[in-house]
Amino acid sequence: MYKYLVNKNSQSLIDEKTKLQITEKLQKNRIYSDFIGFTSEKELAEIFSQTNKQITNTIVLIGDDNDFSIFIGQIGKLDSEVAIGYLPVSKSSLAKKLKIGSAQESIDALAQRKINEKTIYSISSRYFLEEIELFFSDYKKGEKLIIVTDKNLELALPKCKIRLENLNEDSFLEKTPIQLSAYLKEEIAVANKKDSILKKIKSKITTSSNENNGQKLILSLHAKSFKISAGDNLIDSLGRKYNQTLVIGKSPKNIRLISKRPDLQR
Amino acid sequence: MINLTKKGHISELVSYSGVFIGSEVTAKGSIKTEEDVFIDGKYTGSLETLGAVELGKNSNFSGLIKARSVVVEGISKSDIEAEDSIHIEGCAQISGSVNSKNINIDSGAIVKIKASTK
Repeated sequence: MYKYLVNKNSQSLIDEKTKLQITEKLQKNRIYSDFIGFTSEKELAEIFSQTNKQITNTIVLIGDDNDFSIFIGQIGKLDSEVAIGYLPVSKSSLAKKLKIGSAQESIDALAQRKINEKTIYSISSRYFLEEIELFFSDYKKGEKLIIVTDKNLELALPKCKIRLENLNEDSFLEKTPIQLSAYLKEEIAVANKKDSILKKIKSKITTSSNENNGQKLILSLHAKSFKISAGDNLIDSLGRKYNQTLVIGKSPKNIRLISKRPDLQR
Repeated sequence: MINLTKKGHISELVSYSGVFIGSEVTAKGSIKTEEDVFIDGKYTGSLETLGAVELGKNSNFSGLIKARSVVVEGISKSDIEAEDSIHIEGCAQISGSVNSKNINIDSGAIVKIKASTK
């Protein structure tokens, strides 16, 4: 049994006509399902807690990448035996990685149910799959942010924007699964192929390294886990609030994500 | 400013996974990694890597460095051991001990070290 979840507050909300089209396409593949709406993380968490794995073996998010991030945020509440699907209704970088370029490809992938096991990371009581950005609502000069890694490396830096990335997909970086980048100001970054490697690094993690505008590159660091003491509440790009002290690390649970290709590495 | 043209500089060696600590950061503790490391901030502690290390112009490093190669442009009060080479730039201020196959000290560097070659 499949359950389809739709964020009613999504900017990419599907209409009834699209829903009908999806249902028809699913039924052609002999997939029968419920459509369930949610309006908040709390509701989503309740849906996950109430999901009985004996009845539901697959939960699919219909929406955009922001909706999927909210969905993954509460995934720890879901039984890890339940597979997760994604049906993108707008341009999606995640869908591209899962090789599901269109809604039709996504439905085909859901019907074939090829599963990838993915590591997720917890950030306080939430989770993320690929990356998460955190920032302060206001910046006061002189205030510090303390970051401690699992190897007891302690760093003090000015309050800034932080990006956490799950690097597990890159086998070269298995030993350093989370990259933490911090920068004072983000601008549009486009790395030129002819740039030196250092310039590419700078353009990847920030363009605030541009010495003309006085901004400086701050930090790029890898670790298995981080503790961040912020002194103030942090928020992410979806407007979700975080505590002043955050612990970021690998979740004990993996997720089972449906993609066009099965996980060949396992 | 990092010299991007000199052979052996981290700019040529560092990958996207390199550890990069900028001038605004104060750090203490230990780093043990297989990656290249660039430090331009204040660091107290030990740093051990299979890769290259570059201490930038704004760096102030106190402690111990073990690496494949080390380039110093800032202030270093440390014992440095490098498998391949240690390059002390003209703008560097360095004290402590250095040990490597090749040690290169540019003119202008303020140096108070005990140097030995492997």
